[in-house]
Amino acid sequence: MKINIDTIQGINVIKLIGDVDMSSSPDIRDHFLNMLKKKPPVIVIDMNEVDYIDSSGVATFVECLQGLMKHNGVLKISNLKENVLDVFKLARLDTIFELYDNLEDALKA
Amino acid sequence: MSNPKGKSIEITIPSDPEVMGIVRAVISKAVEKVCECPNEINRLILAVDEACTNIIKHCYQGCPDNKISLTVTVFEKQLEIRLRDYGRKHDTRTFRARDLKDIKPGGLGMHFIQEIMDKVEYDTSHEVGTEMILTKFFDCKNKSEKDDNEN
Repeated sequence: MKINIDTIQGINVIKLIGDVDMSSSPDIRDHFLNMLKKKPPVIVIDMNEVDYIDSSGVATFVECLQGLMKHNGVLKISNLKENVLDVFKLARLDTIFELYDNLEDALKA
Repeated sequence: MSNPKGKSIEITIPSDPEVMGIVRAVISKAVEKVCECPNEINRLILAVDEACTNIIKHCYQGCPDNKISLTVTVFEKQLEIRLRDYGRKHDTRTFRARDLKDIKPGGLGMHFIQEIMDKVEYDTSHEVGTEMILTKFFDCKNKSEKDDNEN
């Protein structure tokens, strides 16, 4: 799992590359926690190069969302592949997270 | 593949999250023998991944130095996956999916397994550890059955 952190149009964007599973979730969580320390208004997660996610990954995203909500921040997730979106639907979280088809839409909204 | 006894593959993996990518690849190939639906294949991979993760977390308390035996049996229209751990026994009656209305991290693994698989059973008769048996039935034709019909 590779994690790229960037700031685009003043917005924190975290791009994940690889599988989000039990082995990679702790590292992703650490990155989220570091970003949350600065209380950003928005975090965008670009999932364009994520081919797999399991419950540990989803849990990490929920934790990030809860951290943002403490200061009325927003979590946006873009570019979910069909099988990855299916996992969010299985968890009934597809309506809880703000999901976008592409990064551009996530940044504009 | 018309053997009613099915064809099995057994692998033993360490209880290390780092190897789960390999396990997913193996399961993917096995499932493709009995189903061509990408969505079903992906869901089955997820179910097995979650079962292994639960074993690592709860039976082995996250220790990567133990082993999990995985047996995948492909029948004509059925897939059976057995996961055997050699760790701490739990009361399997307490293995339940949590209420999804409560938005919180964690606790989704069992929900995924129960949602995806048609049967989830446990064999606690072993002296050490537990065996989890996951079964999925398929309506779609398997590849070899299709080939037989065409010949």
